Amino acid sequence: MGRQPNPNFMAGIPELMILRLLQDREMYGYQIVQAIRTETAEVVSLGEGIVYTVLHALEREGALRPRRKTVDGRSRIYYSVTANGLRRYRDLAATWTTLAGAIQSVMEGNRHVPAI
Amino acid sequence: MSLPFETVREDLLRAGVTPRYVSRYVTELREHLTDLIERERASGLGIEQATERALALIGREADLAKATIERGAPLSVAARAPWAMYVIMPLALWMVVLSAAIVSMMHLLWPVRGLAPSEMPESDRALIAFASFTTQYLVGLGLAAGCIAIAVRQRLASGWTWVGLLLIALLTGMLGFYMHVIPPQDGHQGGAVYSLFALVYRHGHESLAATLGAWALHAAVLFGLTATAYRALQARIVFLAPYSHQ
Repeated sequence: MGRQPNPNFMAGIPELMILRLLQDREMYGYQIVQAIRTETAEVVSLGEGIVYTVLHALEREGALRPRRKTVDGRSRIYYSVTANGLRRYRDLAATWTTLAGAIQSVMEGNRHVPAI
Repeated sequence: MSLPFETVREDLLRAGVTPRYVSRYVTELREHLTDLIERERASGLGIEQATERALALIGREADLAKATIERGAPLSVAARAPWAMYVIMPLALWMVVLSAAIVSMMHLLWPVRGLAPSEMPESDRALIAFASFTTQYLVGLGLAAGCIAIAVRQRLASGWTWVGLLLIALLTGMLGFYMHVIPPQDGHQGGAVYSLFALVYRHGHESLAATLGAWALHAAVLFGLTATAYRALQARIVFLAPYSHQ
């Protein structure tokens, strides 16, 4: 059976980071963007407005759960990870780890890398 | 000047995205914008510069709407199946209302069967008048108003809205709870005849031509009223709304 070609390298990265960060605490969109920037030492910068399309897509898939909260007079929608989201995170993390390992392997000159 | 992200709202609504989702997305974007402005202000920028920079960081409104649509934002029922929203739904609602009116009126009228309206208690006459007015006018206007509200709220430019308004006008023009008073004549006692059709009597007999004429007039008036209201609201929306012509 033929292997599926790897998707775009960056596809799934925002989901991966969001699902990881939200395991520690629930956050709203602005906090998530700032957290990604801080945690990656500003190497990765998620679009400020685009983050919501990712969050909403994950919510539709049942990976995230939204909760409306009023804090300091501001109505916010906080997101947290569901059990489904944890499974999704493990799948994405495994794919990314294998992919990163494969790329690293090629860069180091070792061509016999396991197929993803 | 319009509020920020009104273009996103318009683009998404016109793409058929559910108004509830659109409203939430726009609210989140506005909250995010406020946070960014506060951050930029804290770094020493003036309000105008901070706002400009915050808007640039969030991204172009047309791009935000495009990304949301491409990510598979939820579409409304009216966008996915307008025939269900504008034909099946009004039909079903109208049948439910009419059935409820018939059942309740039959129940109420049974004790006073055979009586002429003038011999009935005032409360029964009022109830008959209420049922007639409701099924002949209010239900049709209510359903048409519902159709128009959904179409305008969701920025739908579907021909199904017109089909729905026409159907409602035809149905409510023809059917309803009707009471026809038959005066006493030629030694016969007068009374009342109840029907679900707008029967018109001429010289004591049903007249098909007059019935069809009354039906057509009733339907035409209702359709004229609702169509005018719909066109006026459509024009107002087009005039007021920002829209990124992509």
